[in-house]
Amino acid sequence: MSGPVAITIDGLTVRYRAGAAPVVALQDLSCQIAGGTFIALVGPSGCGKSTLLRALGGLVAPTAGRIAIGGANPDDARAARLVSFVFQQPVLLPWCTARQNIELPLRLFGWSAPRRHAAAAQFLDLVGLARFADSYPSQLSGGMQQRVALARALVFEPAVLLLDEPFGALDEITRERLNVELLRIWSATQATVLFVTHSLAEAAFLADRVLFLAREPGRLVADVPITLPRPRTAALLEHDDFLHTVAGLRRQLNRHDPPPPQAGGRHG
Amino acid sequence: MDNALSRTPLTQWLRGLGEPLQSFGAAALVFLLCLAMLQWGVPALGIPAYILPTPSQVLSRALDPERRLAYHVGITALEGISGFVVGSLGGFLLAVLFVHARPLEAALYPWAVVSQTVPIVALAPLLVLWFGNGLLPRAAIAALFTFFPVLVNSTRGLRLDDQATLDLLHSYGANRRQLFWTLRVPQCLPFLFTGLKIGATLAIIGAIVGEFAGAAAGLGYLITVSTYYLETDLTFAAVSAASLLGIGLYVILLALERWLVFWQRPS
Ligand SMILES: Nc1ncnc2c1ncn2[C@@H]1O[C@H](COP(=O)(O)OP(=O)(O)O)[C@@H](O)[C@H]1O
Ligand SMILES: [Mg+2]
Repeated sequence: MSGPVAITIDGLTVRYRAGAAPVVALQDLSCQIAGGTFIALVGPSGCGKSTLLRALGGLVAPTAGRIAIGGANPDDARAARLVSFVFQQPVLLPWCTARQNIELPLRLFGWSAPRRHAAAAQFLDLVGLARFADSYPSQLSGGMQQRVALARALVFEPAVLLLDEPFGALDEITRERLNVELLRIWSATQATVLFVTHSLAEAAFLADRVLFLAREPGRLVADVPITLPRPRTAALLEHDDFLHTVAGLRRQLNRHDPPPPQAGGRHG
Repeated sequence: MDNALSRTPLTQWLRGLGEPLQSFGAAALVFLLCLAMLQWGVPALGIPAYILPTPSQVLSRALDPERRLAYHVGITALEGISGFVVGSLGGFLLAVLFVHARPLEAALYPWAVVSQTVPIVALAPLLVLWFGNGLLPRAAIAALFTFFPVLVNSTRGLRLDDQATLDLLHSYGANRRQLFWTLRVPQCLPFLFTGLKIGATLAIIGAIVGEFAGAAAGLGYLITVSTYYLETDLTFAAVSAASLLGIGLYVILLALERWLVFWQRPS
């Protein structure tokens, strides 16, 4: 990786042809992301968060608009090994050990065996799974499986990391630990990160900027900078500044996606 | 592609075999009881040996060198196994073709299904006419029997697409060949073995039924001839040998499956 990679999204529209009526997953979305920024994407389900990541990764073609990843279009960026995904499910191959799963992208890229082994060992160590290198996914807990997925995403040192609710299926304690670790690992890289989450606290803890999306059609409705100092550690979670930041994000969310009126509450 | 299928250590594999062996005990007891009843109960009821021979009579006939049971088993095994190999190779390769060319599948798959309504056994005399009265027509029947279950199950396994896994591999820019070897082949293995195990049993049956149509050797021939001469103990010996042949083939496949498809076992 050579230097941080900026992302430009310009008038991005993605329509899915689902049966008779097309679904507008994203409508005219524009956004500028400086290289090395940690972005959190927040919004109700179905607002196009996954679609945005898939478009950035070249897994879905834009209906209109333009994406530039360090000046390249998503397909070229993928060919240049700039982009890597982590999904909500670990998506490990059950017949491969943790080490083999982490080596999977390298094998597809045609790296030599010694280079693969060295890189896999380094990233197994980084996610704290060196002892479990030869375990199969079925022998690992959910949290450990997601660590393997994280190591696999990082192993070729991509400039852009796309994480789609990566720890959403894990319990809160495991999730918190993995978030702290993610920050630690990320701070050692210059990667540009897009992190989809449903948790405002997670967004506040991780991100430099939080992008709020709304649905029908999927669009960008707010862009909130997070000014909490780095490095951020678990201690920050109890800090007043952090709690205020989360409260601010919640007000922002309610403005664009108001909660339904409570029974017995006043109706405005 | 280098070795995508790593193996668990042999010890773990052997431990996996221990469990079925325990539950095997009760079934073995039933089998021994049946043998005992046939050995002592049947003669006590005055049933003659040409209707129902005792196990010891069957065994001594099976071991009678003049009857050359091993030779006939060998013939049937050769027909059944060679047919099985050809049929399963054909079924798997056609499944691979189907997965790579949807139009081909659309054109051929319905015919593969329709072909199953043809009673393959009824083709035996025709196959003898075409291939001569040797091993070939019987192997062909065994192959036809094996072909379909392997084709159907392999197609299902190769097609089993998980969107997230496909997304992952596409995000690494995997090409079709890489997708095939890293994902489709391993994920197909459990399905392939389901097809192979069905096919193996059918292949032995197919070979024997093929021999009924005028063969000069093999277990099917032995059964036909021995019933004609009321040598019922020899019939039983041949039928038992046929069962053992089927079971043997099945067990070999089961062991192979446990070795290759190690990740499907709960750990
Ligand atoms: N492959 C697809 N085909 C048709 N519609 C889709 C497809 N993927 C997503 N959609 C639709 O696009 C919209 C946005 O989906 P998605 O990007 O998954 O939202 P999110 O990740 O924010 O929940 C939803 O209405 C969803 O139903
Ligand atoms: Mg989503």
